[in-house]
Amino acid sequence: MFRSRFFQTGIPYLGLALLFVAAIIYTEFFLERENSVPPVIKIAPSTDEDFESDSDLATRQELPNELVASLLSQISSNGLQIKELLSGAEITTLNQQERAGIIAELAQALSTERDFANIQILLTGLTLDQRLLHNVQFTFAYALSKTGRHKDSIEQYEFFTAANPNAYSALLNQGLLQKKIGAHEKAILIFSTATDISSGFKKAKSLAHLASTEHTLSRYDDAVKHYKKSIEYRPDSPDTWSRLGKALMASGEQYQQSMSAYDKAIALDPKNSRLLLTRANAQLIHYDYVSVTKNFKKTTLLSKNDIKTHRLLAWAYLEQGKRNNAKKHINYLIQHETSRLKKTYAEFLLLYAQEQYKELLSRIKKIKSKTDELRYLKGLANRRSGYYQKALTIFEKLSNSEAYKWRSQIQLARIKRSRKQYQQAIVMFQKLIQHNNAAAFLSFELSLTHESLSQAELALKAINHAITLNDKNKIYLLAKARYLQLLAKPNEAMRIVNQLLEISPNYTRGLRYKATLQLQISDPINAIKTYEKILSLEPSDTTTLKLLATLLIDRAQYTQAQGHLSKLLDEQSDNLDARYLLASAYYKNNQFSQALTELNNILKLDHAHKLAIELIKTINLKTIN
Amino acid sequence: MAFFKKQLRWIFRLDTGLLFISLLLLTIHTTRNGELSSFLLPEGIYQYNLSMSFDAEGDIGISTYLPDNSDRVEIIDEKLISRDMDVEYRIGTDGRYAQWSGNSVSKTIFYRALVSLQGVRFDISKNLEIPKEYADELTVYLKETSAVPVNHAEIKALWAQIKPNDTSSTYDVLHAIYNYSHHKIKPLPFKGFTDSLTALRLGVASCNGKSRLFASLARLNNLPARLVGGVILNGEKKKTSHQWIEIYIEDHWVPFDPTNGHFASLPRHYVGLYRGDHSMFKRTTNINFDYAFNSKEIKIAPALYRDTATPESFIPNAATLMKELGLPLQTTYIFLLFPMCTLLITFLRNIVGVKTFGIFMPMLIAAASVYTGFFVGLLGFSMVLLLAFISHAVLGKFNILKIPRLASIITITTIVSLIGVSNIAISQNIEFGLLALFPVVIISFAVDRIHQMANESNWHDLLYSAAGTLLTLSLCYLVFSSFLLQGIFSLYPELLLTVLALQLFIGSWSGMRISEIIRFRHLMGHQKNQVLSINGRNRDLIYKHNTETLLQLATNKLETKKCLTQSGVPCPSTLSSCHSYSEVDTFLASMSGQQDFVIKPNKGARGSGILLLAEKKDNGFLSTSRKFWPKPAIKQHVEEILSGSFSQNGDEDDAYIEPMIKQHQSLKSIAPLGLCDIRLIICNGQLISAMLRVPTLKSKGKANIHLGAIGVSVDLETGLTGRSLLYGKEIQKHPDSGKLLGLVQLPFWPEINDIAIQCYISIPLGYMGVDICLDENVGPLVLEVNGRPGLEIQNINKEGIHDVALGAF
Repeated sequence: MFRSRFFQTGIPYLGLALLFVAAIIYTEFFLERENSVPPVIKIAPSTDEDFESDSDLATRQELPNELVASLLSQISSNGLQIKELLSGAEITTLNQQERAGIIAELAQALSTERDFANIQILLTGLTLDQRLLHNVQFTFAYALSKTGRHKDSIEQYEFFTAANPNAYSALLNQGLLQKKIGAHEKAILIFSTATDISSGFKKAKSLAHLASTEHTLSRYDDAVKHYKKSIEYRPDSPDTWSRLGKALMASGEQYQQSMSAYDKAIALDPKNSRLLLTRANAQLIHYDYVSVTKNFKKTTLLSKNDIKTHRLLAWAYLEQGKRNNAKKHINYLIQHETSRLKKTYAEFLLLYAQEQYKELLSRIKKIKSKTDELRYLKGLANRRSGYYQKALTIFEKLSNSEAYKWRSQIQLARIKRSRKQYQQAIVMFQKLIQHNNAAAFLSFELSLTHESLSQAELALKAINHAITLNDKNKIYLLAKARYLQLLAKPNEAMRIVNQLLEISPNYTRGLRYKATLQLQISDPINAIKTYEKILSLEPSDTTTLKLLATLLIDRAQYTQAQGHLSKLLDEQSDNLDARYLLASAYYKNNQFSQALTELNNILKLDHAHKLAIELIKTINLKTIN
Repeated sequence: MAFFKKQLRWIFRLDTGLLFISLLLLTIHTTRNGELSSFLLPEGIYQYNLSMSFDAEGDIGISTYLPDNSDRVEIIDEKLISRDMDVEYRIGTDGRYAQWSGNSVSKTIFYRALVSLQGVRFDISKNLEIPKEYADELTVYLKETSAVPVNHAEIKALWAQIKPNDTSSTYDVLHAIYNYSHHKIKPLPFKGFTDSLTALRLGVASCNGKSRLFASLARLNNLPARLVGGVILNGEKKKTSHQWIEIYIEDHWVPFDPTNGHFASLPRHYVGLYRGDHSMFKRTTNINFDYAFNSKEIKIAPALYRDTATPESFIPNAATLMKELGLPLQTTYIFLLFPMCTLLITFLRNIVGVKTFGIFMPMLIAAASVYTGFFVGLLGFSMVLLLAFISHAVLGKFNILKIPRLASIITITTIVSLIGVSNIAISQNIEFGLLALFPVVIISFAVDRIHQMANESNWHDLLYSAAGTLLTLSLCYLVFSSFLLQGIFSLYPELLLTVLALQLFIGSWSGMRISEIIRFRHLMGHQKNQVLSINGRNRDLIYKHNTETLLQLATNKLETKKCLTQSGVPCPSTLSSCHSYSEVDTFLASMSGQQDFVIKPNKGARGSGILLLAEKKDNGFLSTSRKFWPKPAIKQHVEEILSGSFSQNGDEDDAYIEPMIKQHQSLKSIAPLGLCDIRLIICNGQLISAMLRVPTLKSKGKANIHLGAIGVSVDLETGLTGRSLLYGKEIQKHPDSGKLLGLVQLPFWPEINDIAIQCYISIPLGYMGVDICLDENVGPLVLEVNGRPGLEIQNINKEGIHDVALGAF
């Protein structure tokens, strides 16, 4: 009883309301805290330069002896030069063995201060044996590499690894240096050895370097294999995932597989704008333009305002034919690019977006050394201007470019279609779809090519694939309806058109097609309604006015037909067909004088208009009788 | 089976249906556009204001840098007020530059921008070596200038002193430079220009000196460096801009602020305006130029200004739609949150029982306060209220009629508000939202009710309503200020259906308000005879069983009397009535033959507008409280009645005169002043409760309990009085006469019962109250029939009427 009365009071509701308020306050507090931390942008040399420092250093805990301490203080307080120090009494009075020991200890002390210039001067004075004896051979090699003496450093690392064959850090650094000086094969051998002697994180690191070197040598399959192996040991490295994505792309793997590697990299470090950009770049290369634009909607403000992001977005929109969206980003580039050359490139993109192809081509002509991007743009401008041969040559040359290979293939296929080389175009489109089967627009273009060859069945199959990827695309649905009509399935075509009009009820192209279908299935009453709907949306649509008027005349609805034709003639006063139709409508409605006026108007525009002359004769005969 | 029927009824309810649709839409929306939640995370939005003024005529030229979109800065909205002056913009690598030219009458330029800023922190690897070469376009940032010398002997000597061991490491070099310029160069707020050498030689410098020295040392080490000028937005009004430095590292311009100690990082509230060694302002000389920056941080969800549309967008973002209509940002979220505030108000009124001045007035005041800030808004509200109250009182003294009086109050408050607003705008350089003026009208209407309460000395209700208004206003302000709610309703407008469902749910809830739990606390423990709540009365009795026609009839006292008289129910006679202003004089003339009588509004309620005139005197009458009423005052009172001042719904009304009823002897000794009446509650023709209402001096002779009359319980069977309550406290004796109030046998009790039932037969309201008085000569007379009788009778009788009232049907 009490419980039921309690629930009939406002207390439980007040409790709920307070809980709601508390939840709002807590969530606001939580969200605010979440967003108050600024993003951290890491600036680091590429992992190729990710040298290992001397691991032995970390284990040296002993304090330097008194003499070393005094020498160190002289270096730091009096600015004593190393050469003076070596020739000073404190050193020269020592015997050779003691001297080597002191120098080695001094070098070790300096290495903690990263004074590599002095370390290499100090240790050059010692023999290899002395350096090995006093554990400073690695330090010496490391100092040489840090002061830019890469080959000398490699040689010293080789001495070190000869004496210590399991020295992982030395091997890794040696490999990195070999890679740096272009000795990739040697680097691969060294990284392989480092991989063999290491485990866990270290193994992952050497495998990643091995894979990276293999990628440089275009051994993509090996690179993929080793990146995957590296990930087994270090699955939380976003960089390795991202590089695996790149290697998978290069190895010709299916686009979706490589994309999943990029996705994993971003999942591990979602705020890393570099990774986002890398993935977006890969998406652009592999013609996944929709994903480029979609992904950047999710990224942070920082990467949104990055110049490279704008460049990618500009291209992604241009490739989708969304010129106005592209212009927004191109204008940003024009305003913010610091390099004059890049600014000029942005201006070229703007010319392309504005469809000023001739101006664009003449300006590109003036640029002597062209990048692949500029060549591609030139190819596009040529294709758009109808200079297919020139475009063909450019795109064929770009087939070797890693960044433009795939996009050039699309352009080549389009040129083939424009030149009515449909079979070749089909083969090319099929290859492209096989590589990235999420590119709905390619399936659509393939279907159009099949349609050109009257292969309605194949066209339908292709468009069905496009629709499974994007079931809201009006153009795809309309194309499907058309193919179904070609296959003599008007009712199915009608179902698709209705589906399309459910999505976009005011899509005039769809409505116009629906009316055509309605006429085909002998439903003129609904066709008239459809035409009237089109006219309610676009009252001056002359094609519809004429079609509707013709239909109305056929159905002896002359007055309405006359109204539509008059409207049409308001828009196109020189449209002789429409004027003749109007005259016919008057004639059939026994309005002879109006018919004669219109027929005379026709003759004023075309004095030899046969149909008009004949109708005048008929009317004259009738009126005389 | 009954259980399932009950569940089915729930499912088919309107509010449940709406809730279901709303949640379904929300589920589809979140499934298809799951990532939208990131648009709820608030971003650091700052309102940046720059005001410039000058005092000169002729050809004036002023230029400055404005915020521009960059890696950290996004302009959401901006506004420029520079009357009569031409403005040109230029965007270059140095920033966005605005140049005003011409002559201006106002001699002021205002710029306001709403900018989204982001803090940044760079983690520079210690292994990163300083590059040997850069692209051509960066060489300008490595060159020396007169203010930023690079190869000067003193700069080199300084570097020799402070350089790290590894001069090839970008991090080490920058760290050494930063340490020196931040720690060794002491900060001093120099107003003017300081070059690197001066900063070095003096060992003290302001931000520009420190930054130039930083640039010299960085360029010496082959690190491209550029100065950045901007403003620190910390909410203060100030004239100082700030300079820091940016170093080009691996495609990034990394910021360093050696003045405030930011190494490779910048807090959110720094807005950069120009890049390079420039001055913030350029202007014609000798024009007495002055300027000031000020700023305000606003927490706001990006959903309100960022484009959230995706190809899969299921339901559009409401704020985006409203932006397309040209609505400013603040107005947009206020508009979106109005339904939520109305839900809050509905909850506070119908579930908590909070009373306010005007139902939605607190919401509008809160909305206006969003533009001005809470405390300024509250102060403004109080000022306007006070002004309206004073105007009301003063105009009342001049015997101004109600409607013209209210109109005058609105005009006065508007004039005073406008003067206030324009003064604030000029002195503080802030723009006042137009919405801030809107509540003036609402307040002016509310003041009438406040004034009435004050006149009736109903301070308890006044304070209670004032506190309720303040609470509601504060909560509405919190709703408007909640970035989470702003974002949620913008991103998921389908939630408005949930709000609607909840409002409908509250509308169909007939439980007991929290304020009623306090009001009827002494009755709450009763096992039987549950308390009837206001929601229950309205929903379960009045809406169900009282038809609108009968309610209107009960409101119209003249018609009620006519109806009752026809059925033989005794009522006071009507001496004369007045239906229009043209009849007023005739109406007044009809009083001349009377000694004592009552003037009543036909559609009045709660005793308001009733004038009890007891004795003729000179050219007027004395009221029962011995106040002299001259004829013109009586005429004005009648006109007030006709204008609808006392009418329940504010419509025009009629006035009528009744003879003064003489209190029956049995009650006269108890209540020396005014007329007692007996309130009987009838449900579906059954008498369910009764009380005697005894006037006091405090109630000015009126029998209304909320005005200070005593409520005395009456036994339905015997007509014997019981416990008495005055202002909720039990009393034994009348405070004025000292007579015992209990155990008084009401005369004519059986007749009274019969008359009450007869009233029900004449006017068959399902739930009704009948007020009956006892005349010395004729006995019981029906004063009025009430279609919405109050619930205090339960406290008087110490017994709830819920069960018995509902059980009557």
